[in-house]
Amino acid sequence: MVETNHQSYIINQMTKQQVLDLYFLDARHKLIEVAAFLDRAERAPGKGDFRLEAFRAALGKLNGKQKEKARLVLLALSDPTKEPIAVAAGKTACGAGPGRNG
Amino acid sequence: MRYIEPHAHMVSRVTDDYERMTLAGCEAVCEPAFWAGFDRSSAAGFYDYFCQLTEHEPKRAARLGLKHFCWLCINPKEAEDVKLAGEVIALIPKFLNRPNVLGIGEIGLNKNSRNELKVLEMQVDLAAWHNQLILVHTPHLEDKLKGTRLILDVLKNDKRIRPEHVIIDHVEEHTVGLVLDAGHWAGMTLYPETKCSPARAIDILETCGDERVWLNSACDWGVSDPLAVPKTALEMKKRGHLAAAIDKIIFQNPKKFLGQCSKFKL
Repeated sequence: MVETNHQSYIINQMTKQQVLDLYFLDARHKLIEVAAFLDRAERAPGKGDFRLEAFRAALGKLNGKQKEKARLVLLALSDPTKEPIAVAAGKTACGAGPGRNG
Repeated sequence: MRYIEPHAHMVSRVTDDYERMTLAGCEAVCEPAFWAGFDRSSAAGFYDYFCQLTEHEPKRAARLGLKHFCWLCINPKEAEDVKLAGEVIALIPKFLNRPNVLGIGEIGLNKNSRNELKVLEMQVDLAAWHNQLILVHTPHLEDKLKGTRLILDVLKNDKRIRPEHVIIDHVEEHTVGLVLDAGHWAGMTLYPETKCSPARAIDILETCGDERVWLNSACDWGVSDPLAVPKTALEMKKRGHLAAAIDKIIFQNPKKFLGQCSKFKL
């Protein structure tokens, strides 16, 4: 759980209807892309890895009425460890944390 | 519409980009020192790069009527070699008095290794010793949360560092609160895939407020957009935000932070 006591104030200019009018089609497109990605991954032979597991765990954060879904998805895809690693083996990130067994 | 681009890697952009930015209302561009896409082989490579940032780029920008400022450091991706890092850090004071140098950046972490952390501490010490502003890069993707926490600890442990003199860039929904709560400034980077989209950046503004935040493109040699900031301003307008509120985010806020360095004048 990410700790924050930052006091927020809402500068929300849009109504729910306006949010839908502005963003629904783009979000619909991205939802279909996510579904198609999962179809593609499931159709492909061979084994997956921790990234697919992390992706599915992150998808679970979209259910229900919990707030701050984007933050929860980012947390689900983050490295949960706290200590620095011994040596940086490469330079790039892969998009998902190593998981509890990684 | 006027704006300041507080984080753009113009060494990797063509002059047409300077023209487009000026046409879009950019009044100043600030360029942190970063990774060129390959590892420089010696400190001499960094010396040449610092000359490019402090001599060549300001002239290139000035041809389009744009003011250019820069930050100097050894970036986190080249920080695994602590010996090289020490040699580069020793060069930096020679450049600090140049008229367009704002401070030390973009320092930070990449893979959150011990050597990266050591080099980060060395550069925070350099900034404190020379009373410089600091611009921090937080790691990408899964490394961002862990790296942000490690960075905040380093800054907190150096009592010479004034929190308001530090901007922590590339924040996202899960790190922005940590940064703002620590008293630093938070930068939202409008960069495809690895960082924020315009819509998400505005969401963060609407939930965290408009104090101590800025927007930037961090455009570089990757697929990126030097006009990401004015495009996000347009998105804010579509959402009904007033012109004064937009001006605060894209002009007043960066001016306020960068103006803490007396060299930042428009």
